Amino acid sequence: MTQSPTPPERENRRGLFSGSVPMTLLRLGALALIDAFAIWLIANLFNDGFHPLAITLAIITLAINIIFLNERLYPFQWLSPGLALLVLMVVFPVLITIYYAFTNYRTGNLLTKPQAITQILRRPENRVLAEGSQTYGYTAYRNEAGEFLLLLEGRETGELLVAPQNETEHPLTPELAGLAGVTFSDDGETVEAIEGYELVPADEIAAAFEGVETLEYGPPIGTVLVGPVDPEAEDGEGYAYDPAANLFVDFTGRRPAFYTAQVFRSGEGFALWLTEDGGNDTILLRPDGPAVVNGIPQSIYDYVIMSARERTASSSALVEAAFGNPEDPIQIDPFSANRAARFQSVLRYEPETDSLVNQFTGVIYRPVQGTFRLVPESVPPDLETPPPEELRPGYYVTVGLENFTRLFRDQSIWGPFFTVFLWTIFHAAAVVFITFALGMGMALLINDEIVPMRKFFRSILLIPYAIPAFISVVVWRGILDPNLGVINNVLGGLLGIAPNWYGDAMAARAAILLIQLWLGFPYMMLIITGALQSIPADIYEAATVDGANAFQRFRSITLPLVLVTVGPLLIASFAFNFNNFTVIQLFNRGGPAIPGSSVPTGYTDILITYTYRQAFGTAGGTDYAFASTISILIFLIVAAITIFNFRFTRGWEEISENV
Amino acid sequence: MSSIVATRRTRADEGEDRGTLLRRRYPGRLAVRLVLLAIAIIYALFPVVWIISVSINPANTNVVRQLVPPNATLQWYEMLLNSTQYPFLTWLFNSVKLSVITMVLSLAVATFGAFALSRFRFTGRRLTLLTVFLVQVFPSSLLVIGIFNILLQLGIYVDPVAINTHGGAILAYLGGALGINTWLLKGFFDTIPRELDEAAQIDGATHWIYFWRILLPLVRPILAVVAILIFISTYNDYVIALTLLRSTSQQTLSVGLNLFISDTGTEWGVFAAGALMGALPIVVLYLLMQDYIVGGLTSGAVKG
Repeated sequence: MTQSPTPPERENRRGLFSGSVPMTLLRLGALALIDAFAIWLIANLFNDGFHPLAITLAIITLAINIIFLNERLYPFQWLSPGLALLVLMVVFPVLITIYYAFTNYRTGNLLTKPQAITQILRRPENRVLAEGSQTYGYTAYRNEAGEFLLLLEGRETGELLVAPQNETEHPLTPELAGLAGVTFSDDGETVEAIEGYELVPADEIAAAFEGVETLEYGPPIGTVLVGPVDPEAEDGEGYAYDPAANLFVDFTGRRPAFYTAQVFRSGEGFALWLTEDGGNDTILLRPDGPAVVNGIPQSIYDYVIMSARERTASSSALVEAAFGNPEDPIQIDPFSANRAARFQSVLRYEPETDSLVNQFTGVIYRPVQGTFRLVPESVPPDLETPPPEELRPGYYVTVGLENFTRLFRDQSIWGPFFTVFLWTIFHAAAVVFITFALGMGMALLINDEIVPMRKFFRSILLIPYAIPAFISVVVWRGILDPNLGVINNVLGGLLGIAPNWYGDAMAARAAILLIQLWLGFPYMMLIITGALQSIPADIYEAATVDGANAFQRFRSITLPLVLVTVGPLLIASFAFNFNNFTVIQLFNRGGPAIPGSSVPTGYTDILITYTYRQAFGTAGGTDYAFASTISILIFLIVAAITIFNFRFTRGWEEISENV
Repeated sequence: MSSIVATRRTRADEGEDRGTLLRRRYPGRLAVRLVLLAIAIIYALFPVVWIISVSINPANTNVVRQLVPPNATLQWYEMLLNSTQYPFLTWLFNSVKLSVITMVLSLAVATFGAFALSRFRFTGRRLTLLTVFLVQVFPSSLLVIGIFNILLQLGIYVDPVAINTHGGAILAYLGGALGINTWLLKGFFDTIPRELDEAAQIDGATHWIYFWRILLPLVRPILAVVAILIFISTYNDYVIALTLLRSTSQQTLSVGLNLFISDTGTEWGVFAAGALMGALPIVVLYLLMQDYIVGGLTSGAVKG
């Protein structure tokens, strides 16, 4: 125990208001900025129904303010970034997972109540054109994340607007349109000049492209090959430009399209103004802007124009999306797919009665377990088409112990789950045991002074541990391939057997253990080597004098002393392998599947991969609630292991020693 | 644990002389040891040899009949490095970028925390130490449902930490910043005599100047070790990257490489070449740092 030489009160007094006036102002300003941002964020989260996260952020912000305004809490200023991250990204995830286990947070009920109401009101089938709304023609774009953007053209005004999904719309600037600095001829059919570029005369084009092999333009054009093109060939790919013939060919369509180019040059490269031979299409390509086809930019920000086929494929997603200002969005007309406008809903939410009411028919919907359901008495008898029984999407609410009863009562879940549970424990225990055994052997071998170049050999034996598991597990998958792999090749030749390492439950489990042994023994070798070297040599000498043979010396001295030293690490290793997601997931995704299971489960699944699959792994949807239910069980087991480890090992000593 | 390292060095030096003696006296014992060692090395290195062989096999397959396949080629390496068809370099860059940023931020957070826990005595210190120790036992694979949903919610308002952004992934990695690394650093800060604090205080140094100019330079080696441990564990992460980073251009090596080996495509040659190039820096780091990593391991610093 170290005694503090200075009285803590004096040392710790160094708060916000100590130091020079400008410094204090600077710090106060920074704190005010953080607060302003936090309040804005918390208000938004609260408004949309994310209450737990809003409350957590409020607590963190409040704590930071108290810490920085109270001089006595000065040491916590140093700890505050770490503690804030710990609360937000570790403590809160644990708590929210526990909360989800008592809700119906799964596909169909993934929203909060305010979100669900907003979406129901905007559903295509509930839409009528808002009074006095401007209507727009539109071009649709999509980015890699799958978000949409519309380029809108006002039907009456002709104004051009860029409206990303859920972000405020703004006018199309010449830069975004790809037309910055472009001067068209009076009839608008040819480009006369581009600012910063010089026009290359027709007879100098061939010379200008000397040594140029490709040109790069924005999506979806991409690379244009430069070189001789055979206009008769129908089998080209992508885009090509032949400077000698001044011929640009587009091979992407059903048959090639030919263009004549007007070439501009700048330090950045070549800009091409292309007019279709015998047609009306024009393309403007420039290295510093999007490709423009017939006046339409082919990409805006990171969004790329959607082809007709893509538009058809995502038509329902497009119709459901809201564009521009989220408070007053522009949407695609569900009944007239080539126009967009502002809509209003036929439904209205009435907070007093907590119900959704159809303003035209008077039909009422009330929430039942997170879904608005029809109140049959409210349907007027003269209504021609019966109204839908419920309104989608739903939102999540607490459902008590439903998920737990489902787990324990439903035999098609409980049976496979119990298999997974037993394998999880067996797997973790077996991995610790076999890696310890082999690691011990290797450590004894590598510590024997008779072995030459021990340091070098130790490095070699360390390699399996050094290779990232996300690589080595897949390598083992390749080696163990039942049909093509080298292991079965050898086994077939020697013994005439070919275990199905992928498809047979027992073989797959054996394969997992084999891989785990390879991955884990170097770690054990390392820590056992450390332990071996702390055993005093004279104990062995004394034992030898007493007539103990090598095995007895190992049994009675080495093993117990090593176990005492590495014991806590073995328990930590058990806890780690209990949740070893990477190995199980990458080897066989938990497979082969257990037949008759109503949630996807495999024979090599451990609890964590089983849980992960319920939350993220299936195509049919997600079930965070059920996954969280299993997570609680894992939390309890991991916590129990840790507390056990902590109580019966150095944990307490370390804590008390360090205070 | 620095004492363990030191002990090993002196013993090893003495050992070499005794080793020569022993080898001369017991050739039989030496032979048995060498045979066992050879078997162990074959077991340890077999997958490495396999992956090299696959990576130079033009057939792009996991069938290995000869160690050096006929028509051995470097085409898969060239393809990964030059072709835009496989975003290998993007993934590598993403992995390194995430690991470096996480390393810097995480190290800063852990060092601040360790400084406070080592240099100040205050109410709540013991509780903080205990919390930090206990809370970090939950691995990220177990927190991922919560983390995913937090970023889903935050991302609606704060774009840089949304799902499928590197900001979100870094935030997830930083959750464990005030964890076992803080303990490790605190242990080293504790070894620096407190007389130094007093001297600095008498000279009028503020806490910040003391921390930055005096304390940090003294613990530079351990900072480097902890930094590399953080780098490696971030580089090796699979579950966070798999869950949060959805689009190909955002993914890291750990998720990207495994796209070559999926249900639809099995491009073993490409995978093997990428895997070798991706694993090499980490393996080299490990081997260079093995003594230090042993120290870190025995105090449980490496989670993955």
